Amino acid sequence: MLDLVRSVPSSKDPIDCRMVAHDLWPRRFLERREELPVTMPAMVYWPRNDDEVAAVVLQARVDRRPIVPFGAGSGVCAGVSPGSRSWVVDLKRLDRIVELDPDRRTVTVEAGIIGDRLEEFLNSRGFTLGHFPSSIYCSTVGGWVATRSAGQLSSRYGKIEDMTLAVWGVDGRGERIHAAVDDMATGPGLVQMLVGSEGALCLITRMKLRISPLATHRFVRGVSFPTLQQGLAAMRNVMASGQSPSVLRLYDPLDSALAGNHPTSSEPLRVHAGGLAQARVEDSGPGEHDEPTLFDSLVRRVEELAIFSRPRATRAVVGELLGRPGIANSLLDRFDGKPRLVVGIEGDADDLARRGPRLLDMLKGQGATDLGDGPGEKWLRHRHRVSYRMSRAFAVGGWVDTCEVACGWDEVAPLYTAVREALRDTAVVLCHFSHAYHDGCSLYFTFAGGGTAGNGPRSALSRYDLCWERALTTVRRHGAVVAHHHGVGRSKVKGLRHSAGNKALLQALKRTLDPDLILNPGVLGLGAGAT
Amino acid sequence: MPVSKTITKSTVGTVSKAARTVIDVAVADDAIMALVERLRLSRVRKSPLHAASIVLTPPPADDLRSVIIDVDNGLADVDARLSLHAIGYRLKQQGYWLPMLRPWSSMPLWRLAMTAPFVVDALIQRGTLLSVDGDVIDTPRAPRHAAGPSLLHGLCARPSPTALLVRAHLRVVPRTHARLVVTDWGSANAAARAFVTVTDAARAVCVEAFGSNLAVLADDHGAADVDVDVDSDRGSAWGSMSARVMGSRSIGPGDRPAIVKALCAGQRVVGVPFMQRAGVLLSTTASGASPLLVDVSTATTQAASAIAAALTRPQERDQ
Ligand SMILES: Cc1cc2nc3c(=O)[nH]c(=O)nc-3n(C[C@H](O)[C@H](O)[C@H](O)COP(=O)(O)OP(=O)(O)OC[C@H]3O[C@@H](n4cnc5c(N)ncnc54)[C@H](O)[C@@H]3O)c2cc1C
Repeated sequence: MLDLVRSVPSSKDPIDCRMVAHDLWPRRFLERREELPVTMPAMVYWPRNDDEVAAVVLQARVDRRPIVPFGAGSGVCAGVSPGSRSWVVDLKRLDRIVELDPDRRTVTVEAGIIGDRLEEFLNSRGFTLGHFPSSIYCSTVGGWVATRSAGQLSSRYGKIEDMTLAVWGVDGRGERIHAAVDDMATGPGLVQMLVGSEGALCLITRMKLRISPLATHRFVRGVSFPTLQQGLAAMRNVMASGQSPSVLRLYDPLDSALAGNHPTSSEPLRVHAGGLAQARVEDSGPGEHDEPTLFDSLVRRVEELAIFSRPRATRAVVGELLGRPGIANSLLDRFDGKPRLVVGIEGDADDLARRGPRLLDMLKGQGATDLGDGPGEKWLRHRHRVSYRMSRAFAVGGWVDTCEVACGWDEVAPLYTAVREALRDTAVVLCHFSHAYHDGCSLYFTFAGGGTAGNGPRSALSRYDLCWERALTTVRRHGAVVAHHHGVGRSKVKGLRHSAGNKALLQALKRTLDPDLILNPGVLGLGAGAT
Repeated sequence: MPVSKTITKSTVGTVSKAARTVIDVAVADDAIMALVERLRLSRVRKSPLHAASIVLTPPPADDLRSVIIDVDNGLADVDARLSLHAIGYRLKQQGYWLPMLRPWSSMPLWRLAMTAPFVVDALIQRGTLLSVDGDVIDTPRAPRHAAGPSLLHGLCARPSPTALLVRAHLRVVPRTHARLVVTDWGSANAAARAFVTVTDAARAVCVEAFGSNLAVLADDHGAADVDVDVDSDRGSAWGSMSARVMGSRSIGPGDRPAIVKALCAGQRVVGVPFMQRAGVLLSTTASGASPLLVDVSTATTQAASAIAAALTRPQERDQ
């Protein structure tokens, strides 16, 4: 086995190592801007099968080297943060679609396949995974499972954890492991112990996922609410009524205001051909004209105030403002928009013709004003156009990050208010609510701030850390879950709440499956400092 | 106003640091407190208990704390000494559905959790458990699973429970939101096909197949996908189903061959479409359901080893 490791494709080349030296945790951008050194791993491996993965693990055990699994590096919370002795195991050469079983509605794939490739394959055979993270073009299916990812249609298709029926992997002993929901010995519980393990318990090499037939039609609509509370209540009622819409996204007043006005509508309800899954590839990929970021929206709004005539001056002012979030927030309080909700359901034409009006009536009954198809279709067109470039805020000394948490319905509004209050003098905060369930919802905060260069108390780095510290403390205090779909990585460990028994079992599991504590030490607060 | 009881480990003697555990009064009635004492005593005396030897008398029927509805979150906070049967009836009285149909299991929920992981997976959002050292463990309160590996199963279900479920937050649905329709599809094959159609639509609260019958608990529109014929309601046929639910095997919600196989074997298949879960209910318990209860450090190590062993052994699909 140990001989095999020599034949595993690998590289010590600084460029190759640099490519996997960290993920997209925004703090790393700030560090680069400050020209802080990058810690490079000792080696990167590209195993092609489970044997090769096991060989690398066994060799790492002998050498007592940390191993960091790498999917596509799109993680945003320092899940990938190798030390200088670490080996990074990039799983992208494990990219086969092993089996499609239309009868059992499952697909078995290797961990390193990029999400969009799998979806394209499934679409061509009349199926969808139903999992559409904004990063679908730049993340792997293994990375999704390792971080409990959620896609934009999660209210109907569930999170990746709901789709995962079996997981194969190699643990820290170099043993092959396997859990499947229909396995009497392991059952669904053990699948759920590997899902979300972020490389701390095993390297996931393969999984079996549930797939669904492509829907033939869609109905999308935008509405606005007088207050956020009404919008949240409407979302909860829609989920409680068992409607399971594919899209249910509520934007807070500030986010809605920054997105601009949508006129009210009395246009007739329309059912469009094509489900929401199909409406993606043609017109929704990453492109030249990215969806405006928070920074762009702020610039646009300041331009509208017509105080500065030159765009560069406006950008500089917005950069300055981000460094003075107290003032920025006071100004932004003037843009008090009406919370906007985008709702979309899928099915066949007749079914939607019945359900669509009923759903809209239900929303109107909760105080909603109809905005027509526009907001929904616009969202659909742009939904993967997240900016793949670094946010322009970084160029003017600012920073932007996102924080997605989850809690029961009763805590959503109090938590929203508490986080905004806690950060009022640290960052500008937007929020949307895009993953709704029967028993709760996720809150997706966007933070934008600024600060001086260097690492003094007024520096961008210190402000960034302070912002997260305050956010995590608030989330913890409210008993909410610190990560809904980005994982915990290393950046959110402080926000984890474990009662003692939970922690004892997790640690025992870590010690059993990874006795030398070589697997991604530090993520989830497990095994740090051991190697 | 929540009332708390504080118990101190030193009440049983030899515990090194005087760790204090606060148990909400809803959890801690005298029987549970007695169990805590007993567990700690067994640890001190180094005489492990067998889970099978524990008998917990359910709370009296008029104990209002045993089923508390959390209207905002669609949950019922229930005493896990009650059986699903008792819980189902109390929920009905309070105007709620359990996303699983009658007949419900008469096993206490804490025991059922050990033998029927599907129930834990689909129905329980979070649990309050009692470790074998008598400490209270709360699993995170989150829709779906919390961040990181989910440990609820590891704690109270197979392969090696380390804690006893004392209260559980079950997902429930107001009766006003859903109604039950039963249809005879003529064959197991057709029933299985309809089962998959309903789970694909992800809107029903619950769907169950038994023989050639299919029961769908949904609002009008959740049920519409299978063209359910309301006139052919045969609720009475349901009465013949086995009430002796003692175990479960989870399956993929779209796994038609597995559904057909279970139906032909006379088993009952349950789906919770809004949770994307499905399982076959069994009238036998799986092995390893009655663990030896020893102290936490030993128990967690044992559990981790049992889990590791289960992960590395060949799959048992068709038990
Ligand atoms: C622009 C953008 C938009 C995003 N939108 C979304 C979104 O909508 N929804 C969402 O859920 N996330 C989103 N993310 C976050 C990110 O894409 C997800 O966390 C994704 O699941 C990470 O996949 P990856 O393959 O890039 O994993 P990586 O970043 O490479 O790794 C993430 C973590 O998982 C571990 N890991 C990776 N692969 C494996 C494996 N095979 N076995 C064991 N451990 C492994 C790594 O060690 C690390 O700890 C977004 C990120 C960006 C940059």
